[in-house]
Amino acid sequence: MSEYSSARERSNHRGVALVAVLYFLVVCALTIAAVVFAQRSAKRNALSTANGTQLLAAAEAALHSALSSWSSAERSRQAVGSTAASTATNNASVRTTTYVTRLTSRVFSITSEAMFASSNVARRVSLLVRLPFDARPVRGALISAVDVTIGAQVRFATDSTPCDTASAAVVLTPNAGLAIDADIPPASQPSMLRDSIADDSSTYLRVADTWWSELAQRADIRLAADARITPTPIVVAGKCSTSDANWGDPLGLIAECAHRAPLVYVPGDLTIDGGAGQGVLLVEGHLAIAGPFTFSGQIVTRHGIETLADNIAISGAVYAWRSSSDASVSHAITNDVRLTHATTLRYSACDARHGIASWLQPRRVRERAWSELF
Amino acid sequence: MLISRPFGARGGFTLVEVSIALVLAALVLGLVFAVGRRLGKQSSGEAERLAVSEQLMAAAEVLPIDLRGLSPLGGDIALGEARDSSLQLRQTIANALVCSASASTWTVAPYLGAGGRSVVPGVQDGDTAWLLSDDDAGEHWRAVRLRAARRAPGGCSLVTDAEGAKVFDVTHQWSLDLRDSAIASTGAIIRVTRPIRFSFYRANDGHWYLGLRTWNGLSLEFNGIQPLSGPFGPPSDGRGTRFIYFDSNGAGFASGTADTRGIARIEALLHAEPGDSASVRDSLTVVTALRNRR
Repeated sequence: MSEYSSARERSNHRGVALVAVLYFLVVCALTIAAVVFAQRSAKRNALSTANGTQLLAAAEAALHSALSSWSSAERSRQAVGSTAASTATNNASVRTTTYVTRLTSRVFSITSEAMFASSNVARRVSLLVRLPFDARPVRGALISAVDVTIGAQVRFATDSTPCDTASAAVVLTPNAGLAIDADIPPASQPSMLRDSIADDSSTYLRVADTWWSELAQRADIRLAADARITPTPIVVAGKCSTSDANWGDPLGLIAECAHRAPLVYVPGDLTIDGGAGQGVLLVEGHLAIAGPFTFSGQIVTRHGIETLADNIAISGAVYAWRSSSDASVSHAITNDVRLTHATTLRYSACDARHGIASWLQPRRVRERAWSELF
Repeated sequence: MLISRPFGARGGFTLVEVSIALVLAALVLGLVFAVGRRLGKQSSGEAERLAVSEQLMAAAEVLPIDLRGLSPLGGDIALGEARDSSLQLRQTIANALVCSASASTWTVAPYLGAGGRSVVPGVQDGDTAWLLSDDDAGEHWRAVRLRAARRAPGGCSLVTDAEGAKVFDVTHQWSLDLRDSAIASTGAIIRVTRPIRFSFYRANDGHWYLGLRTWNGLSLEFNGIQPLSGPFGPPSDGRGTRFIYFDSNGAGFASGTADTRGIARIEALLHAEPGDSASVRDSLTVVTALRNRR
């Protein structure tokens, strides 16, 4: 075959097939690229949405977990303006951080953030919660619906922390009698206020929106009537004991028991032979304090109080209601408040609130509690 | 020598060969073009599907952000303005802590955003600040109109520790000038809101879109509508691109209900239509539970 003819043949072979194949390949490549791009884009969008949803769910779960595991005693000791942080990793990739900030004495802000450990993608949400209002209409170291006797060695004080202010050292009903030892000079006598609100049973029998009967049912410690006790902080195996004789440590000397503030209920008379404790003490009968005793919180009695020993210090508030709704019964001597030894009563709203901290759970603020932060 | 061969002896194709070659070439070309066209259409379809998916995803991303934090009890959904074709609400644009305050100016530390990022409040004249007031009678949110926001020097003395500085932007404080005189206590929380309106509307191209109208605090009316996503199927043709409202028990509300305070869940039914051909259709229901329904 000559060179001419072989060149012509090669030229003919090159013609249509090559163009067709090239066109086909280009179209295939474009189609594959478009499909891959579309799939990857769709996957990226779906992944982004799924990640965002997962993080938001994790952040909200952390928020509500913080609310459900709320430590009332711990939060009640948290200073206004301070923030407590906690971090958790709920699975291998998502880390959540929760901040609890005390904004006022009653309002807290809980902020939770969920973030992937491998990236900076995060979601952050916030919830405002509020402690139930301790609806005490009068504020004083001693609020009494029965007659009160104050001895020469009794001192009244007011908390220096800015929790609240007292209406007066002693708040009485219009009918209740007040006898102050003559040895106390007028300038040193406790301030006294007579207020009809002090004649309202709800002032005594309702604590933080909870009535006496319910409080009695949900008491952390229920002692027998006519009991004698010397409450003392007790630590067992490095943990604060939950025994009936352990009412926590109001002095903060034993860290394990600093947050124990039980609700103690006694269905009859009670004699305290000394010791220390904190929380809320509800006594259906007569309360006698017969030894050196330090208490932080609230004491409510229905048959009077008397002190039989020196070195008694109570910080918070003491309420003395009468056993009967008949105001004339209030003058029965066993119902009186008789503070005749070295006793200091300090009005402290902080300590009074801390006393109810063990069962005081916050609730979310109305209407605009939740917010997503971008 | 190449041209020494006589003409009659030159090699060539017979008519039959040429015809067969042409037929085969036509067949091959036809096949190639058919396949190519089909692939091209598939590619075009994928692009349309992608566009539809992106439009739906855009709506799904945008809507819940503004709906989740609504407070129906606080009046965030305008009375009578929860319709099947539109929804008028208050958008929360800023959250902040009051660090100090006078009757006419509040100095605030905004909440930090996700990842601890600083957030510029972006307050405009006419925006509303909701101030959380907490007293013995309980808590309530008080509405205060704002005039402007400007940067403020100094730190927030209320936030006392480093952990708090991870929640509030204490290094970038803002002064909010008030239109209304109002006393705020230190430690109070504010939420700043501004009206917005989502609507399904028909654009000049004849298609339906989900649009947003923002509030103009100076003219006291909504600005022109801006498209967010679409096109969607028309709300009126029964295919149902629309908003639906439910209470906490799952009972639905009629469009334009006056009882917007009871709304607990909002659903947006989106039926996407990419263009005139409408060869690709997809739908999505965006369900949003209102976190502040109580």
